Amino acid sequence: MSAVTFSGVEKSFGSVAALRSLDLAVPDHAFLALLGPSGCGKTTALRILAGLELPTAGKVSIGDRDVTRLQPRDRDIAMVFQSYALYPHMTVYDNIRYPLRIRNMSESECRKKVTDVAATLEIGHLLDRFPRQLSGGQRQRIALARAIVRDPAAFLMDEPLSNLDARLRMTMRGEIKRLCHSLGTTTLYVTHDQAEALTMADLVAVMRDGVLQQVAPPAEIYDQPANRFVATFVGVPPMNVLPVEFGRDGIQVAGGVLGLSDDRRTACLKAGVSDVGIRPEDVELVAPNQPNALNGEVYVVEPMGNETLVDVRVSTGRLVVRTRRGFTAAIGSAAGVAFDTHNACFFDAQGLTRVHRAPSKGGE
Amino acid sequence: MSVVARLSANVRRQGEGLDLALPYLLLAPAVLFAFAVLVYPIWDGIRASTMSYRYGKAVGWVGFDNYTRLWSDPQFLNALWVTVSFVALAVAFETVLGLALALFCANEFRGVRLLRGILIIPMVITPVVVAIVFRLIYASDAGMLTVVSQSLGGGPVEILGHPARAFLGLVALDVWEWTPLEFLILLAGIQSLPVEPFEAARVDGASPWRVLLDHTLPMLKPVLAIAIVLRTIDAFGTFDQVFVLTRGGPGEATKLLSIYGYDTAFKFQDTGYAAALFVTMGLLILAAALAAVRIMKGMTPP
Amino acid sequence: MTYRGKYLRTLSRRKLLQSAAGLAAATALPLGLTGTPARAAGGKLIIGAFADGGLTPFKEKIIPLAKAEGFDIQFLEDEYGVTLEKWFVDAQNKAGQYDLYLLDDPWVPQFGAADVLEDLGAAGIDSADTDWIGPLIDMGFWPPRKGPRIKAFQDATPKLVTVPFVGDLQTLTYRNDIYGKTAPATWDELIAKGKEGVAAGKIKYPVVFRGVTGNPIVTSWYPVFLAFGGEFFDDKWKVTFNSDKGKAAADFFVSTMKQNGPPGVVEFDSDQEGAAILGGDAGAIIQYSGNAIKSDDPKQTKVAGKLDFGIVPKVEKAIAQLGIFIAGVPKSAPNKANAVAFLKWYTSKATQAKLSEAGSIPVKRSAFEVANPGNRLIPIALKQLDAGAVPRPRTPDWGKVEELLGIELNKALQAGSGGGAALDLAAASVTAYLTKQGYY
Repeated sequence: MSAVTFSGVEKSFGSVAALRSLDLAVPDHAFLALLGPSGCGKTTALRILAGLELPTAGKVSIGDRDVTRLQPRDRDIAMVFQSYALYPHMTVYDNIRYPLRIRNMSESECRKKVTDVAATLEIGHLLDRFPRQLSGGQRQRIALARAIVRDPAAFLMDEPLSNLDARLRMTMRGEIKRLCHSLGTTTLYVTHDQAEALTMADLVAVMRDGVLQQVAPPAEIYDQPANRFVATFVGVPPMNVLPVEFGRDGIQVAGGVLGLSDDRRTACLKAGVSDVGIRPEDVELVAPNQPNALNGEVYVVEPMGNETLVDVRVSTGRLVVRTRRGFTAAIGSAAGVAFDTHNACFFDAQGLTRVHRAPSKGGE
Repeated sequence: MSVVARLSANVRRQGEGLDLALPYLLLAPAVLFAFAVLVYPIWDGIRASTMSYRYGKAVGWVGFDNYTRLWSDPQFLNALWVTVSFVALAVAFETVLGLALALFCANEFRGVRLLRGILIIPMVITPVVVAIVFRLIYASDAGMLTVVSQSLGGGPVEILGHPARAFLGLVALDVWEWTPLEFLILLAGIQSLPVEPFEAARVDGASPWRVLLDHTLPMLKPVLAIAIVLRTIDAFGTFDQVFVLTRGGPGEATKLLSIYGYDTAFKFQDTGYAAALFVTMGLLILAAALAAVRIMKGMTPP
Repeated sequence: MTYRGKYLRTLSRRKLLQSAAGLAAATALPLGLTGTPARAAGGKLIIGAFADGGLTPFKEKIIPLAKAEGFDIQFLEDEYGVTLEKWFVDAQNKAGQYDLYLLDDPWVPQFGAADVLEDLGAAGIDSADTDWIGPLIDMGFWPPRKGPRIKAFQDATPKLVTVPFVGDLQTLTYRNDIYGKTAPATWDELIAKGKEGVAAGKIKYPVVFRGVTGNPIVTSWYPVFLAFGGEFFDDKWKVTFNSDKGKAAADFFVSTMKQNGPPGVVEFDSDQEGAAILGGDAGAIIQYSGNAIKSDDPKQTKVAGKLDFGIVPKVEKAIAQLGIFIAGVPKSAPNKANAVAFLKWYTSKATQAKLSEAGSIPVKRSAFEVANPGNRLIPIALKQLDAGAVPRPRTPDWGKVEELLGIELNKALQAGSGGGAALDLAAASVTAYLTKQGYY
């Protein structure tokens, strides 16, 4: 078990840069999720750590060992692949045993370890089967078993749940989290699914176009996004972002005027803020033509069962409002929207968050 | 209404009349063709193998005499032995070499496409031409090997006049010509394998050698078996090359069953005996292929 | 229509015509070669032959003459190795692709026994003409007029199923700068003087011959065997080639001759043998007439002017093997009458003289004596005929016999010893084979 460090790691495929100077430190025992849209470089980073790709520049360390140029087999890591990458010609037992056999572990020891792992993952009854006879969820467990059967310095997981159906994914999410927690092994987990990242990880690293955007615990990623990309990528539905202007009494958003405390106002003006961001759950619907509110028109109403999402069109864009279950409104009817600017964050023209949500006055 | 009536009068219901006969009508030409080019010749060959021929004519039915005669005919036994050793040796070399080349060429590197193209050239050259070229290489008076040897101060190199060397020379020719086929089949097989299990194996700690032994070969087994069966069947029928290179000599060192059968049928006009020889040879090939398929099935996971 | 459209249309039409022409040629070619030709007017005649230098004068000089006579000749040549099977299948299946085969004479018994050739005697070829070279016209009959017959034809009346076409036989070709003006009379002289020639650096080997298994090696061994006084079969088809004389010949062949030949002689066939004499490596070879015309042509030989011909050397006798081109007309010939007419014209005294002048060995005695034979070999060939020349045994099973003998001889040649033992082995397998075929 060891910390993992990327220092200035770059990777380009021909003229395409997949990673631009990645600096990332994963503390020992931590579970870090690499989150980002497809093509953001997260998988490349993982494969560089595994040794399946060589970086164009930079250094990769596991613990205090520089592993940048080592063969995968010399890195003491275990990896779970998106496609599970089971050995199709071997039984489940032989699949799980393989990392041990290659290390010349005695047969009795192998048997004990494999049986233990199989018991943990509840796959003891599958050991004599071949991968092709198993369901997706079962294969997923075999792949996990093969990774944890030995005691590597780090686990690498490349979108391990993305081939499973939605229900199974939620179940496995919890199981993997528990498993990694109990093993305490440093884990890098690549995913494009923010729900996985937020629910499972100790730390989330958000990436975009080969550049690391923010590394932080899940709550911080959600509450204090470093920039507009993180703010809108994380959260379902995403954060609402609208252009903002500063008047004498407060701020003007889409024709409405909202109050703003003086210190936040000063900070915003100093930073040259151009947009305001507010999460759907921090917005409320009010009657039209109220003071301290924006006027708009109901575009669509989406009942979700436990809550209702209302998409409101305002003059400079749209706002999604998360409201109570059972809410109804006619499409096209007029609506007012209001929010407390303490819960908003403010972005400059480059998209950087210059003024964060005020910490003292949180949520509902 | 009259339009509807007319329409429904013309409508034929599905599954009646011509519909029932149509599949058979469509199949008939193929069945007839198969019968003409496959079933009849084989049946005729088997019939001929139970007849005695003199001066080009069948003179009587002899049952299985021709077959029993084979097993006391030293020339047949020799040809059988030569053929089996030739096939075993040639196919073994071709498979190992073809596999090595395919593994090498499955990697992407500069010039690999050109290399793949060059490697399959021998296969597309007419066998007779290959044999003539090899004769020009082997000939002890003015062959390329002799010329090279003499320019290095050595004596003439004698290959085709020496039993063991002529046999190996024939094997070498076959290896040169048909390794590309194995190469091509195995390359396609390797390229169709999934990538991830190999990456998983590397991460799990396997060296390249272990990856080859533990994963590539087992996963390639079905393709390997097909390549071997195909080449084995083909190698049993080798004829042109021997015909040009040695005519079966020196002595009977390179006398394959195909050559002996050809001579028996056409030079010695012993048609029935030759038919029995070829039927036996066909059964041997069939048995070998079935055995290979069975082994292959045993190796593939269910 | 625009210019471009018109251009495109003409272009595609021309292309179409071209490909149609190509297609027509492609289909016509195999038809012309293998299809059954329609019964033609104007002396149409399809002659099948195997490629051999012995037919060159006929091809170059006599075919044009025949065409002038009104014979529309189509001359189809094939590799020696495939002609026998091809023609035999043609004749047996009555495919009618040929009017005339120019056979190798050992094939006559096979075609005769299968009864697929026309009786040319009945068709009007006169075998009684005293101008025929006796041993040659004898070879045209099946069953043979002289010597042992196979059982099935014991009492049959001999029929002239084939007509001698080119009177080829083995003679000696030797270097006059080694052996002088007269040919070496004995094998001992041939070897001894040859060694002197090698020592003097004029040649590389005293003698070169064919060592390849089967027909080639038996062909080269045969005149040695005859010289030692060997007899192949007795008159009851009992194997006699492994007599003491035969064994002595075989031992001489696989040891002395091999030691005085090129190291790779085991793999030599007629092409290497010919190259050895024309290329100046060999002191002497026994060969058929194919290379004779090349012997004076500096373009085809390095030793023009140094090659002379003589009768084969002797030990007891100086007898050569006859191996003539012999013409047969298949019963299925589409232009049978033309074939017979052609043979009558071809074997006439006048045409035979022309053949001799063209450089080919004729089949009638008068033609040997023309004033200007086209080939120095022709008078020598007559000398050899008179000194002694015998055909191979007249049996349809000769191919198999030659094969069995060739295998053993070739093994002994490879070993460089054991010729006598090889003959015993061959005799056993030949006897076994002939027994099975019902000879005894």
